[in-house]
Amino acid sequence: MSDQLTPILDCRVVVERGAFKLDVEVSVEQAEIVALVGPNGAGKTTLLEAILGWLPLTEGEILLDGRVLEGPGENKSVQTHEREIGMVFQDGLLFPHLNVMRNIEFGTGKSLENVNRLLTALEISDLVDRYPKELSTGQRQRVALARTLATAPKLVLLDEPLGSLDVTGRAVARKLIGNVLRKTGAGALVVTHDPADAFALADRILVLENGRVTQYGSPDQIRTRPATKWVAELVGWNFFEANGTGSLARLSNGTEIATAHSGLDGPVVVTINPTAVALYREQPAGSPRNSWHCRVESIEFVADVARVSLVGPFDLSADVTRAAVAELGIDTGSAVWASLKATEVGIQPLDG
Amino acid sequence: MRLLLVTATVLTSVVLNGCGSGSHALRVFVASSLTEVAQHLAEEYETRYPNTDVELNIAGSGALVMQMQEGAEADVVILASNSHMDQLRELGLVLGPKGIAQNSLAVIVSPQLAESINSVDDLRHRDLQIAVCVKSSPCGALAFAYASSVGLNLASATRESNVKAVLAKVERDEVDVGIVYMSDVRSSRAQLGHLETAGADQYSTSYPLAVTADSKNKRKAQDFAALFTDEVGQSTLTRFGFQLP
Amino acid sequence: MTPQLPRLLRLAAFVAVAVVAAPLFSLLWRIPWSELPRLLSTEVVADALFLSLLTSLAAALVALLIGIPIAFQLSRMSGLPASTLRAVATLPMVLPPVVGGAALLFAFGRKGLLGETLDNAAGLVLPYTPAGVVIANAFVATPFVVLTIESGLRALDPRYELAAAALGASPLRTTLRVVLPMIRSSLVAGAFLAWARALGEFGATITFAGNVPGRTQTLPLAVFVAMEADRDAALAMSLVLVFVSLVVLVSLRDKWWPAR
Repeated sequence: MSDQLTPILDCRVVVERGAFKLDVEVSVEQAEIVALVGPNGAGKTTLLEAILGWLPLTEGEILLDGRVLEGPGENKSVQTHEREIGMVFQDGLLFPHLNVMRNIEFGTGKSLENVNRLLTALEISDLVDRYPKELSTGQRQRVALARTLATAPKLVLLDEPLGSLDVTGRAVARKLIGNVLRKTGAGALVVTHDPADAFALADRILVLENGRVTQYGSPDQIRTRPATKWVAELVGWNFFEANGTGSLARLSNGTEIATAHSGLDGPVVVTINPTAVALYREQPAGSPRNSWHCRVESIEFVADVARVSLVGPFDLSADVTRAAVAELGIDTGSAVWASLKATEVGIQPLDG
Repeated sequence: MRLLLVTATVLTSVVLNGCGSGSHALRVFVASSLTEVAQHLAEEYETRYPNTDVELNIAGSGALVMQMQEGAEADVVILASNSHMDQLRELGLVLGPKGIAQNSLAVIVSPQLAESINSVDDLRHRDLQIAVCVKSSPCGALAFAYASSVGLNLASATRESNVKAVLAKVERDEVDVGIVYMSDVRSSRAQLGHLETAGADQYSTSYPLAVTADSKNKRKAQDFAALFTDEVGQSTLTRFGFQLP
Repeated sequence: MTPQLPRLLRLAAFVAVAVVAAPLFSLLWRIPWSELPRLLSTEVVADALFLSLLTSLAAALVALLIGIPIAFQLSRMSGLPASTLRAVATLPMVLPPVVGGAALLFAFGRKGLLGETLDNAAGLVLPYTPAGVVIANAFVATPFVVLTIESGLRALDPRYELAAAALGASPLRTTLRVVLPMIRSSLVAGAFLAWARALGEFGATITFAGNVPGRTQTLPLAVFVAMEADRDAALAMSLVLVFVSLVVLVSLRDKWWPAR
């Protein structure tokens, strides 16, 4: 997918398990962190296990730094321990019978310098004599990362590395992990269920839904152009399925939304950025075509932003400033008018 | 649950009553060397007295003595040595034992080696696996006495619990040599070698028969005992290689 | 805390324990305690005790060597093939030991399928030798190793092996450095159960290895012979066996099957 550089990981993974089929193309550049997000059961862990060689491919191929690990014409796939791919598990999975130092040394060829650097970078130098059961969740997670990075893998897979941490721990650990990962120069593929992790940590985000990639792009692209309902919800966007005719998108209940597009024909997906929705106490003068009378269902404050959930002809979220809420004098149950410029309505073809 | 209880009760009563054959059966404890004779005469008895079953308990004499000491119920006891019977008599468990047969030792050789071993010298000078009865049994006691008289080392011999086990091991080539009774040589169907020149026939034992002191079937027990001394019994004994007292 | 058991069940348990304990108690009751030192120091007993310790330890070792690979194989199988292999591997546990001894005789006996070849090729004769005792003991003891270690392996999260592989460890290194240390308690339990079973082995031993004092007459065989000759000696030796078995079982506590 890159023009000049060979990606560290370049693969197409097809795994069939009963009715479930995973069919994914992924590439990860050198020193790049790719976040893998998606609903439960989308196949995120399956993808990691296939890349690691724990699950055989039904079809496809895996190239790591130009070397074929598995693929058509290869009569034998490279075994997990010879893949130069590291994995950090959700619960760390430290070996309980070995202390921290022996865990970290387990996979190294005695490159102590590297180990010492990692101990310092991950702030675990004081823990080397402890056993896994004597560590906190966060400490365990960092030791697990050190253990994997100590083997200097070309690619690191991380399965919910922050999943078991509390909110404060998360932010700190996220920064630490991001810094350390970037310094190693290895590619990283991080599974996470928290969009905050994905947006803060990743260079690119890969969205996996029901075994398929539904979107793969920079955090900005994902944020501004969510491709599916799940992604839109993930980033807080409004998302509707509609039927397009000319420049109009008609929802199933008959409500029409005007767009700046033309020549619409058939099923489409309408996406509306909540910040593009404007709220008025009275029906706006000049009456823009997209204005609807709604009732405030709830108001949620996040920092200076108020997320207003509206019930009207259809459910809609609007993000306005705290000041605007005060100015409008709205509260739960208030009647408001929501309006939206046609140019702010995103249209995407409905994914088959 | 109820079904389970009923089943358990039925099973228990069956087990405790010995499947119902109960008190009518005549229980005979027999030394294992007398196996064939006892089976033969039990059948004979059942033909003569159709109302009575004979139950044979066949084991080495030592085991039988132990069972009697621990209170096993028997009507007739036939052992392979007087000393074993004396133990029972001293405990008052049996009434006036009487000798019914004699048996002497025999050195037998496995079918495979039957041709190549001809004398006691061969036994002494070759590395052979020997089987004998445990020292505490009548045939074991005789075997060890015989072995020391001819200078045969039994240190690495395997000691079997009764004479039939020794015979079986020799018959199947599991051991090379066994010391058994003459009667076993007769009853065996295998192509055993028999060292007739070994002088083992000088060592013999007698078989005492006794009715037990607390037998509830003394009449029937006497009838059974009488079988061994009448014509049928004596011809059976001689046919299976026993001598008469 | 724990809900109380129904009275009927508690009564049944009490009776059951009494039924099991009664013979043991009776055995202890009959033991001539003052004679014990003399009885246990005779040559026959000393020989049998020494031989028993030696052969049962060797048998536990052999059982581990045979049982561990079987357990590993089993832990990776499922369905009918697994049930079949498990049934074959644990058959000696439910088979009458005499049958096991007879089967060994047909295999490794002087006239056995393999025994004759072994004798001709290497001059190796197993019956009536201590090595034969070890084989007989290992035969009946191996199922204990297989079952305890298989259940230990099944209780182990397979992702630990994946973690080791992802750290570059070969399957052999993973097995030696990760899997075996992590199922240590199953290994210990399997070894001790195998040893205890081997120490008490009778039927297979006397059938396959015979009863040669000092060579194949282990403690249980000596008890059997002494029961007809010297009852007090038999009781004294029985006491040793009961004591050793109890110590093993009590010290294993709930490690019979690894914790869930």
